[in-house]
Amino acid sequence: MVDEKEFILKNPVWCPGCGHYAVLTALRRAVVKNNLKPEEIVLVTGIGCSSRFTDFFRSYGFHGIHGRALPAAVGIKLANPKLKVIVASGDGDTYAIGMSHFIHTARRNIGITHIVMNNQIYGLTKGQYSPTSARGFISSTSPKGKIEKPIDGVLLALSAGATYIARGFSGNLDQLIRLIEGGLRHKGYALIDVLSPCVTFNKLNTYEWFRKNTLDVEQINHSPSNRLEAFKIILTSSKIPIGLIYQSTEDTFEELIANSIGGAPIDANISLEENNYESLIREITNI
Amino acid sequence: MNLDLFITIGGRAGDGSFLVGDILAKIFRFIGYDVLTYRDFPSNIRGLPTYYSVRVSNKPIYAVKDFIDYLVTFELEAIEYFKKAYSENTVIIYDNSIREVKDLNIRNYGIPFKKMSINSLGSELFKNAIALGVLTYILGIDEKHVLKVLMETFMKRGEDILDKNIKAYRIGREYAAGNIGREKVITETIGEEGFLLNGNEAIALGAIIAGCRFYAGYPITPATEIMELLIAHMSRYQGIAIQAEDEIAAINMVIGASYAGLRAMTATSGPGFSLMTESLSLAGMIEVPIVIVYVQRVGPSTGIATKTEQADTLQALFSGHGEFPRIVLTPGTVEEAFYMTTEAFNLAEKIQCPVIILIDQFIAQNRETVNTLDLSRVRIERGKLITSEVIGDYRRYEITDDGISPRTIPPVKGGIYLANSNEHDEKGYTAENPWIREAMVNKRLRKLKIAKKILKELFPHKIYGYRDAKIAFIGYGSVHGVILEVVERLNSRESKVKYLQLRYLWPFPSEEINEFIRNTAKVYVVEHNAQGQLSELIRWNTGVNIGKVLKYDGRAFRPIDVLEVIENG
Repeated sequence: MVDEKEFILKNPVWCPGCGHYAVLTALRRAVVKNNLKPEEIVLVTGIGCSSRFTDFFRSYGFHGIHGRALPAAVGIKLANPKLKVIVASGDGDTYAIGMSHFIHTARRNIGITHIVMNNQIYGLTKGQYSPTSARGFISSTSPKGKIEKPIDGVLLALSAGATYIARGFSGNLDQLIRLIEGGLRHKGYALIDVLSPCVTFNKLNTYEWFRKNTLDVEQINHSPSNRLEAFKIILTSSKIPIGLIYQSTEDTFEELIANSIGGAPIDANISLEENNYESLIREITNI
Repeated sequence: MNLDLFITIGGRAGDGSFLVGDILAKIFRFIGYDVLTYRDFPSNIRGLPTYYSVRVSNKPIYAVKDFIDYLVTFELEAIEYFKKAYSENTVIIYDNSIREVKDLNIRNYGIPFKKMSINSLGSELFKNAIALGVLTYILGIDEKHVLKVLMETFMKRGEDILDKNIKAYRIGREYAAGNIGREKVITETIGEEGFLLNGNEAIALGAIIAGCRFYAGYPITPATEIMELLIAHMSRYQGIAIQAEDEIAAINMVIGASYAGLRAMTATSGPGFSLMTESLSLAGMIEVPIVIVYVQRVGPSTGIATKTEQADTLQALFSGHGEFPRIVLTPGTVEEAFYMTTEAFNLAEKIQCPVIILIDQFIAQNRETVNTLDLSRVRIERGKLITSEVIGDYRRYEITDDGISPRTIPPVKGGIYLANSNEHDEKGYTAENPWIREAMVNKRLRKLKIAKKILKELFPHKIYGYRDAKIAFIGYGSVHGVILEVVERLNSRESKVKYLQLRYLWPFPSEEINEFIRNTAKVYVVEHNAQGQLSELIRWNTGVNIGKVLKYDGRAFRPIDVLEVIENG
């Protein structure tokens, strides 16, 4: 069995008490439980406090640009579907600048485990409101209270056709490990939105606040295989539902494409001797 | 006997004028002539005028001709639209089904194409085949050649369509025999074997042959055909070509696929490239090899999507924040576009940087005669790529003499690293201290030296004309053909001129340009933009004032456009 230490590159440095510590620990334990090796994993991040994961987690890493972690991960996964591709990003990275990639990756059902550390704030730029901040939320860019409605990433993922949708909480490590583990085992795109408090800039959504305002769906006999039930619990619950909200088994993009191309692109032999290009030239040149 | 004809077919989109142009081009290619096609069309599917010109010659041709020899048109706006392109030899053949055109001081024939088609075949759809019959009869092309190409073109659409087109073609032929007569006799010539290809096709073909196995793009005129061709053909070589949600996604997918070990490419035009520039800088920073095909069109903003321009020259060279190496290749012909594409992947992997293939709508969408594509000239060289286990301490961004470091891909054992958009140390981990920062900048920029050395051997800039000429031309990309014709014409008179074709623009070839313009009296840069971007760039590099021959009306240069500027000083 692989040791958790194998996945330690550096000890993490976030603000003391930051929710992201628990997420990093949960990810390390989940990959160990799934018996993955550091070389088989590509961890992809964008920009933000969450995206410092690639500085701390030992595996192949790709720290790209703000909002674009998902398309880079898509390129990696499609090139070599045998790799375990994990994206770690934040609510700004995913639900603001990267929103369109989030919806499109979900609907394509590409095998990426996507952990969104959702702290309802922009932390690295020192405290601006995020798309998930509540209405009325006070921040440096909403001094009189945020006007817009918040976005619910879990609801969006469900409507976009995602096949594994979970919400965790940094204050509940055991459940978080299980949810990430399930996401890693899931065939297709898996979203784990994690309520991960920013103790420095978000004085509203604290650990205590989340404890009071979340509902663990595992305690209420929720059936995650039923999409309608999943919508219902998100739309009707007065508290934020956490746990496995929805899961279904569907063909992945990479499986469907492998059927038509005959294997993984990374295994293609590109040598000129091994390929017959004469017929291709004839077709394109109309001879 | 020399033959050099420029034929323009006009019509509203949907009239089938492109099909006549295509068929004509194929017939001439088939009987051994050098062919160049030029499409002038709006960004519109049906209703607006579109023009398709075919230049054919039994000598090699490189550009559009100064004047039209035959204008065949199904709508009447074309007659006014081309008024500057008429000479005393021009013949206009137009559809007079709507009305006669009076007071034309050009030789002309009004023929009721539409009425003839409706009367004899029950639909106006076949008027283009009737026109083909008229034109090929006048030109004296043997019927068997026309029939062969008609068969090839319409067989796949069913026998009924084929029969009707042949019938329509014969109606046109008989009409011309009875009312116009033969004006030329075009016989077979011993042209080299070859085919017609446009730049987009050449690039798609080159990419697959070079081993590109990942493409992501977003539809954008005039680059879309590359994506369509790759989606159609990449799968049989076990590659993936996909349509992304936008250009930003496309380039990041390409960067991801390349990071994972594939040769990967995207293609776009100005608006899409603008969106990609942040990621271009990422590829430069993490030293991931990518190929970007940049098909310029008229800007700024949406501009004119279907017309040609070179106004993104400086954007291609300088876009992207921060300083990082890139290579910009500038093919001047369709054939060059093919070979440069195959080498672009080698260069990207050897130098570990983005390679931009910079062309414009003219090369991308117009067909040229390509004699052969020689696959024995294609090589696959992947540079310092490591695909088996690394023993010992691996440093992806090792500081090396040439700046190029060994590159692993997942899941190579012992090869773990972080591709990091933050400034980083040799292993890729975030580093902000001043000496690492400086060493990394130097390492990345050092790679340009090797790039320069390879490029000088691979694609040396070409000099045409008299080496000791006092008058010199410089150009890149789609102006190559027109400059060649201008040089040929001037040198056949008493003038002595020379021309430098720049085959790559970055690393910027200042030494070669300085050498070329030494001892000249006047240097002209011919380019498709309003400010003379390349001309200014050369002035900044050489201190020499450069004459600007500019065209920015969206249409290709004719030789006469260049000559007029030179002769008027």
